[in-house]
Amino acid sequence: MDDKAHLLPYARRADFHVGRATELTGKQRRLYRGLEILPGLASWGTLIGVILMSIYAPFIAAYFVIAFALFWVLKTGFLTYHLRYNWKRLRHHMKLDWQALIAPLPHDHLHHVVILPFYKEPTAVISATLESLSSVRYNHKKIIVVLAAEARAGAEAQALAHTMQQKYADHFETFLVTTHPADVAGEMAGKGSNAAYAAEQVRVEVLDPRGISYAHTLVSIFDIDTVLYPDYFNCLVWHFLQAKRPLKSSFQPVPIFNNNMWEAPALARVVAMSSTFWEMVQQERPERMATFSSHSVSFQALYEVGYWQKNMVSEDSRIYWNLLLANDGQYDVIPLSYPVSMDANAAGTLWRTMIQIYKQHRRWTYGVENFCYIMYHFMRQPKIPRGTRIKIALQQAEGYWSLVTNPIMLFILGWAPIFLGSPEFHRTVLSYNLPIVVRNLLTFAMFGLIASSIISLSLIPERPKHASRFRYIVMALQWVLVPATMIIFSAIPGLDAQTRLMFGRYMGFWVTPKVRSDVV
Amino acid sequence: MGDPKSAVRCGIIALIIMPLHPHIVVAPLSRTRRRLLFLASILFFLLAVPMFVFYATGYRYDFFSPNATITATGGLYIAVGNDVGEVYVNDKPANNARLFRNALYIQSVDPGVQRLHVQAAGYHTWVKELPVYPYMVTEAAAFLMPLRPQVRPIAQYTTSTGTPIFLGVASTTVIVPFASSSVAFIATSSKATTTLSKSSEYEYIRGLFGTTTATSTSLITRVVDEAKGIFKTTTPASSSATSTTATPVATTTVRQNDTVLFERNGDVFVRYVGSEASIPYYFCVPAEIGAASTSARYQAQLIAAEQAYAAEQGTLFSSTTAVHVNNADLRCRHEIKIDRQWQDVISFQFFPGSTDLILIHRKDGVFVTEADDRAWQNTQKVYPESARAIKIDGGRIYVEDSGRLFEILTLVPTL
Repeated sequence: MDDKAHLLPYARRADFHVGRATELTGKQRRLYRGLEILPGLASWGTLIGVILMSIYAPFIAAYFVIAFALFWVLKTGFLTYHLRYNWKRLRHHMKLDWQALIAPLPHDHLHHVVILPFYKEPTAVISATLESLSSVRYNHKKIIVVLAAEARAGAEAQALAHTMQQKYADHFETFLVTTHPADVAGEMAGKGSNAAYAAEQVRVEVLDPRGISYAHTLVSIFDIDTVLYPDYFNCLVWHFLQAKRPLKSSFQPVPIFNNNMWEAPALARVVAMSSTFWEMVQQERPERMATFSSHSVSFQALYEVGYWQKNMVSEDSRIYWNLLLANDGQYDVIPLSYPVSMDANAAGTLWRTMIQIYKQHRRWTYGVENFCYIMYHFMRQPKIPRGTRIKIALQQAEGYWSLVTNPIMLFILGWAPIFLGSPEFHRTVLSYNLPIVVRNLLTFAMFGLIASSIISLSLIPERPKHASRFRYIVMALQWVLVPATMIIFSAIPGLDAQTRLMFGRYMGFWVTPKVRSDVV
Repeated sequence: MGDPKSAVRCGIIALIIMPLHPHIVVAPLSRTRRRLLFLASILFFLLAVPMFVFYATGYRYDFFSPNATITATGGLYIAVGNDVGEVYVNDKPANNARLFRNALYIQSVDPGVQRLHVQAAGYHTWVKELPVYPYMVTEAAAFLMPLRPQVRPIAQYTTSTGTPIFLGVASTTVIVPFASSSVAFIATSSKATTTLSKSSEYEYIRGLFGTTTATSTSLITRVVDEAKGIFKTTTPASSSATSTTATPVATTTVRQNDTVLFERNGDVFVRYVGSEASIPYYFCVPAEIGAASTSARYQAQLIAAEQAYAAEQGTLFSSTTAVHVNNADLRCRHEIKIDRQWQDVISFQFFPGSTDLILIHRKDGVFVTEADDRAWQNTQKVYPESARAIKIDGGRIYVEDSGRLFEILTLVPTL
C-alpha cells in the first residue's frame, strides 16, 4: 500500500519535506544551497554596503539615513495602528461569551486533540498547563489530551507524564501519553518530530478505532507552558465554523508571554511583550501571517501533508508553508485575536536570562530556513498564481532582511557617515544636521513605545501580593530598553542565524528552559 | 477520515446564523482601510523625504517674511573654551544653538559675513567676523580669559593648614597688584620659619625657572644674536619640555602633535606639518569666496603666507604652487603668522592642551592669542608686564614675577 496515498498530490513529492540543502542532490541541492546563502548575503551586504557608502559616498549615505529614519517613523505609526486595533479587538474578544455564540451552531460533532510536546520541563509548568486546560469552558469530554514525551528525556520525564495522566485522565475524553523514540534516522530531535509522532499515535490509537472523522477533529498544538483562557475552544470553534474553508485554514491565537511577568526581569518582559506585539500586529494582516508557536488546525489538513516536519527547527511556521504549497495556495491563517498565555523567557540570573533569550530568538529567527523552502517550492508549484508567489516571496524576504538590518542601521550605522565620512562631508551643514534630524525623527517614533507601554500594562496578569505597586512604574518605563533589545535580541541573533545558514552550519532545536517558582 | 458533507453542512448553517450577530465579533482591519493607510504613508514619505533632505542640507523657508523665498543657509560651529560664555551672532543671542560634540552648533545662518561674539561676566569678550557659506559649516574656537588676571600664589613656605605664606613682607604690601588671587595667602613681615613647612611645589616650580636671575630677551635681540651665529635652536618633544638652563635660551621651535610653533625674523608662526587630510579648519578657506569679504582678505593672507614660506625655503614660487589645494572646495596653506601687535616677543608656547591658542610672553605682559587668522586674531591678556618668565608644566602655566611664583588661572572663581 502506498504510504503517501493520503497525502495531497504536491505533498507526495520526495522533496516536499526538505529541511536543508544536504538532503537534496545535483542541481536541486545547488539551488537550495544558493537560497540558504541568499538571506545572510543580503543582510551582510546591506550592512557592509552602508559602511562603504558612508566612507566613499557619505552624502548619499546621509540622504539614505534620513529617508530610512523617516521610513522607520512611518513604519512605527503603521504598525502601532495595527497593534492598537488588535488590542481593542483582543479585549473585545476576551469579553465575549463565546459559549453563547457557538450554542446555536452545531458543534457537538467536533473533537479537539491537544498536543503538548515536552522535554524536561518541571512539574509546575506542565501542571499549570493541564490545570488551565481542565478549567476551560468547553465540554471536556470532547478534548483528547496528548502529553508527548521524549524518550531521550529519560525515565523521569516518562514518570512525570504518567503521573499527570493519572491526575487528569478523568477530566478529558482521553488522556494519551506518547513517547517519541530517540535517534530516529532522518529526524531532528525537537518539537516537530515529537508532535508528528504524537499526532500519528492519536490517529492510530484514538481517532481510527473510534471512527472519529479527521475533518471533525481540531488539533491544537501548544507549547508546554501554554496556559489557556477559558473560552479558547469556544472561540476556536466559532472561527472554525465561520471560516470560508475551515479544513484549509489554521487558527492562530495571540501568544501573550506573560505567565511569569511578575517574576521575569525587565529585559525579559520587554523582549517577550515585543514578540506578543508583533503577533498582534500580524493578526490584523492575516495574509502575511504564518502560524507561530501555539496554534490550531484540522486533523484532516495535517494528515494530508504528513504532519509537522521532523527534520528542521521552526516547524510551527513550516507547517503553514507545507499546507499552503500542498493546497495549491488555497490555504489561510485565521487570526483568533484571542490570547493564550505563555512564559516570558527568564532564568535564575540576569545573565542566564540574557543568554536564554538570545538562544531562543536565534532559534526563532532561524525561521529564515523557511524562506529557502518557500522560494525553492515556489519555483516548482505552478498552481499557485505567480502574483501570489511573488508577493509572498517579497514579503518574506523583506521580513527577514529588515529584522536583521533595520535596528542595526537605525541605531548604529545611522551615524556612520558622521564618523566615517570624508573631511569634505564633515564641513557641510548636512553632516551637522544629520544626527539632529535622525535623533528628532527617532524621538518622534517613540510614540510607538508609549503605545506599547500602555498596551503592555493592560496585558499583565493580576499583581501578586508580594509585588510592590512600584513595579507598575518600572513596567511602564521598561520600554526605553527597546532600542537595545532590538539590536541584541533581534538583529544580532537574526544575523547569527542567517550567517550559520549561509555557511551551512545548520542549527539544531534548542529547548528553552522553563522555570516556575509557584510549584503546584 | 474527513467528511466533506458535514463540513459543508456546518458551513451552510454558519452562513445562516452569522447575519444574526454580524457585529459581535470584530473583524480584522479591512484591507481597504489598510491600503488607504499604506498609500497615505507612501505619499507622506515621498513628500517628506525631499523636505527633510533639503532641510538637513541647509535650505530654509521663512514663512513670516514678506518676501519669503527659499534660502540656502550655512552653519556656525563654535567651540567655547572653559565652557563659559554666551554666543551672539550679529549682536543677537544664538538661541537656536545646540550643544553638539562639546561645542555649539548654530544652524540656519544666512550666507555672508557674520559677526560673532562670545561674552561672559568677568572675562574678555571674544569677537570675530567669519564668512558663512551656503551648505557649509564655519568652525571657530572661542576662548575667554579672565578680564582681571587670576593667579594662585606659590610661596616657599606654607602654614600647617597649607596656606601659602610670604615672609619678610609688610602686611600692607600688595603681593599681586595686577591680579586677583584665587586662593588665600598670608603676607607677614616675620622671617621666622620654625613653625612653617617648606613647600615642595615651590621647590619644583622654582627649579623649572632655574636658579639664576634671567633677563627678558626679546626676539628681536635674539634675531640679531642669531645673525651673529650664536643662536641655538632647540626642538623639544612637547611644549612642556622647554629649556631650563641657567642662561636663558628662548624656545624657538615648539611642537605639539602635528603643529609647530616657531619664530622667524622676530615674528611667531604656527605651521601645520601633519597630513593634508587632517589639516585644521583655520588653515583653509573655501575656494568659492562669494560675497564674503572677510574670506577675500583671508585668501590674500593665505597667499602671502605661502609666498613667504616659499621664499624662505628657496623654492621657486609660482601662482599654481602658492596655495595647496587639498580638495575641490578648499584652499589651504600651512603657515599662519601670530599677531604680536607690534610688541617684542620674549617667549612663546602652545597654550596647555591646545594647538590653536598660543601663549605669548611679550614686553607688555603675557597674552593668549589664537592662531585662527580669519579676520583678526583675538588676543587676551592673562598676566601684566611685570612677568619675568613663564613656564608650562603638567598643563599649568606658571609665572615668575619679582622673584615670586604664581600659577596663572584661566577661570574666574564663582561667587
